[in-house]
Amino acid sequence: MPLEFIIEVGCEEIPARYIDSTLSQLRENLAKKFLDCSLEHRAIQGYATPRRLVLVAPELQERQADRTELVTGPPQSAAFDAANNPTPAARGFAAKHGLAVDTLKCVQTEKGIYLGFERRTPGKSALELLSRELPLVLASVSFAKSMRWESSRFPFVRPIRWILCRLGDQVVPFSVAGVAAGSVTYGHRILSQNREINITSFQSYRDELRNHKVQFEAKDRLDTIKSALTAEADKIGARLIPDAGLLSLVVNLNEHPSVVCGSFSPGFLRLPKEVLVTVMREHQKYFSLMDAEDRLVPRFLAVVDSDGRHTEQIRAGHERVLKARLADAGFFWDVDCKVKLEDRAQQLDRVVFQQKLGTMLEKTQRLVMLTGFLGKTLRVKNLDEAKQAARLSKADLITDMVKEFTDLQGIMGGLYARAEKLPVAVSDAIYEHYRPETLEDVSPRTLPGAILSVADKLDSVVGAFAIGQVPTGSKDPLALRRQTLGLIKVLLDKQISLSLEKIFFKSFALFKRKATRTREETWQDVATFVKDRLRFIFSEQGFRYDEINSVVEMSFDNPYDCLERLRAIASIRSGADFEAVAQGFKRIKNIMSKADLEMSTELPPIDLDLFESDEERSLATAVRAIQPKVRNAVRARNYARAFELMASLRPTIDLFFDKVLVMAEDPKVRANRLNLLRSLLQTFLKIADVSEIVPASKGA
Amino acid sequence: MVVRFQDLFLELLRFWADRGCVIQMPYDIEKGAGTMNPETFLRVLGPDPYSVAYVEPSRRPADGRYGENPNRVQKHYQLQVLLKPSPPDIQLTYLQSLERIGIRLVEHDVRFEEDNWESPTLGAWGVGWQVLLDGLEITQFTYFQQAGGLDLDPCSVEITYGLERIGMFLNNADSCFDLAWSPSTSYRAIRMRDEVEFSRYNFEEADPVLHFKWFNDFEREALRLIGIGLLLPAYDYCLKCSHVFNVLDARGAVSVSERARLIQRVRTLACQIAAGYARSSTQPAEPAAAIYDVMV
Repeated sequence: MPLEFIIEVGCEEIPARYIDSTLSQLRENLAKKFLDCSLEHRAIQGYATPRRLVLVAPELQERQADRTELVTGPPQSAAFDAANNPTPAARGFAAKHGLAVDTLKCVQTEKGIYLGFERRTPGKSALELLSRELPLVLASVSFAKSMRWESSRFPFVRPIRWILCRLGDQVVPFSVAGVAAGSVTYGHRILSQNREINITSFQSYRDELRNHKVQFEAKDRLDTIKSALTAEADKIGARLIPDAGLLSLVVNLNEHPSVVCGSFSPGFLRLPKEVLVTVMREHQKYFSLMDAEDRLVPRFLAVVDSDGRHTEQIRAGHERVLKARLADAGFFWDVDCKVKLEDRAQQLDRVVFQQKLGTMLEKTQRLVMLTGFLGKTLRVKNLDEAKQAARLSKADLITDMVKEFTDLQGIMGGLYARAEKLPVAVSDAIYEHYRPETLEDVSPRTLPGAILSVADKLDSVVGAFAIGQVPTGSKDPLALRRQTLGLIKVLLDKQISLSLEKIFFKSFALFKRKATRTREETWQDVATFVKDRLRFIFSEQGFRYDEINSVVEMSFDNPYDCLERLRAIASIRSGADFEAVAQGFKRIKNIMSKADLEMSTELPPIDLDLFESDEERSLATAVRAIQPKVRNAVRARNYARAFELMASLRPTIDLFFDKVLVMAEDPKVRANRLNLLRSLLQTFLKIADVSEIVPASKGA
Repeated sequence: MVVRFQDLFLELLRFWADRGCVIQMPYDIEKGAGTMNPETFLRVLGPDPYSVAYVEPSRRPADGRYGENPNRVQKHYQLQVLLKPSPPDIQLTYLQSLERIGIRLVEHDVRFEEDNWESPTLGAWGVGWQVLLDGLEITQFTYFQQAGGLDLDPCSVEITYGLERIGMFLNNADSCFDLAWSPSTSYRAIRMRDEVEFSRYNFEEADPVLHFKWFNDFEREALRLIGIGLLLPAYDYCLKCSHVFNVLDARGAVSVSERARLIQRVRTLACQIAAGYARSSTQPAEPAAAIYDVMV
């Protein structure tokens, strides 16, 4: 009969950011263990709080099924003598297995008839298996940072203090890190005085924990928090500023959440909204509120671990802490505003960008040039503001506010620029030049912001590669992967069309003698690095790997152009004609490679007289007719049109392959045919290598 | 009800004394944190069990504000508890200690939020939490994993109470200077002049040339003492290097790249001292039970 299995690992507070991954690893490890042990079960449910990791298998097979296997001994011919009596070989086989000879049977096997018997191995009980395997399940969880705390030196994310583990009505006997499994759990440490509770089933676990003020399901805590946040906001007629990251964090910071609404002195509203929200979120994990006009209201919502009975006292405590924090921020703001960004920018020679690459002052000087270069490439008319923004872009690094809240770099520079009444284009560009921080983040809204963002990231990546600081494995101290993704994302989002190689060369030149590697070495590495990131972004956008191969492998020097070609191919690939032509191209490529013909080898021009059949003549005519149209379409970046033209060749190509043998005996005829096919390939090669497209029938 | 500053640490020390801790005195050399007291930094090394509690004045020159900021001071007081090995019920014992000084936990929002401690100058790190009481950080709670670059076995747990913060919390005070230290004397009366003069000294008057010379001299002396196996005196000079560095840093006399190098030099001393100390402290351990049966 299936039994209910429950395990709860009781810990000292597990950091919020590790809880979800720890639980899912445990669940996977347990499922794998059940599978290895051939124990059937219904889906394992997992629950977690900072103090407990819980897994429940509602119906676990009580014991493994018995196994039957055939054990064979000597062949029949060697087992019996002429009088049909068992030979010593047969008797030896029987004795070895403790059986009487007459209980053995002759059985037919693939190799012939053998003496043998069926051995039944009784299945082991789940209880026995689990008590042996569960320590391994716990030990196989990996953490970014694990710790040791007791003499067996068992590594885990935080100390394990109790283990509840039952199968049916029995405790599964095992121990880990000096803790023996039992039937006991504990209530909320403070609201229920850490009461010891006996558990008999998952139902009793559920009931008892509710009685003892523990919401062990994250979903319940999330619901509680969300509705309490909304209710509190409604009470004061304000709107919650949504913050999914903060929400997923606070869910895992308590066992019994409630929400307290506090206020701060309206005098602090003189500080920028970004500063107030950051202080509340980063220091105190508070949610901020807005009024109907999107203005911050002097209130905050704190998610606390409490049952809502002593709200007044808790609120007063949180308000006092926030007041001190905001006073600090106000002090920073006032002190920072006393010095102009222009003056701070001059002091950037005291701030190191990278030891071998010099100071931030040098970096901003390069950014000014690079911004100018990018602006000219993109035919931007007035570059003064973008250049001014570049010069001032890093000045906020030496403000007290950014030293305290590094996440506000750029944003503070923009706000101080605004406070100084610099042109809006300048303050906006500074404000948004670190964007996008992630692929989910938005790109800069303004063009000067986008140009500065590209320049900043390009300079960091090229500089690091120029001195051989290439990211390896998990080591990427300058966050070059993130910066490269950001750079590409800006180009794609802002539809900026430019040659990476060209801007790389410009950027590289600006490092002058600082580079320790040659321009070509550096470019090779940067190009590969960019290409990998570009492929990643495209796959994140939902393009298929064969589409990405066909486009990126041809050329990726202009990422936005790459995207347009990719879109065209993705939209047309489902058409039957296109797919067939793609197959045809694959065939042509195979022929080329068998013929050992490099795409670059010089060939004589196509000779119409050497053609023998109408099919090849009509292909030659079709190719020649289509070439100028394709060129025009490519020039107009109308790649969908180019692919339509390609698809229109289907009947001609099909007929050609039906009737014409490319590898003719006569070398001249053969070369001429190869020449025709190569010309066909080359017509489209600048757009994509469609031979990479895997037909839908074969499953992409 | 007024909770006096001195009653806080007297009660807490009594609490931990009742649970088997040696009550120690502060160590008589300037240091940035109670962890740097040899009663913690050296005692966590090697196998011998040890439990100790003490109040430690902690000097952070860069945090001085001339006595004008209600929360930031260049010297504050930590109450440090070190338990080796770490006992299994330590979190509950710690929470009881808060009840002992008058915090009714059930009326508050008490949380243990991840905060891993690391001291680059000591080559030491641990994992743990900051304990938040209604959003206020009142304690640093750390399971030591390494000190002086060495893995620790057994592991110690370190509890560092921020006495000023707890005092402010209990008295609903907005400034630490408003606390009553004793029935007749305020924190302000005892500490204000100290803050003003040392802020001036650290930010304006400290002689960088002299301090750099001291740093070099102290380092040389520490290295010499390590060479002849006088590790405790060597550690004194290592601490002095650390404090001299902190003054230079507050004075703004240290560039970014120099900063990293100076920290590395102190760390090298600390690691060498720790390695030597661990080697020489591997006598058979007292049975741990003898220490902890008092605590039950």
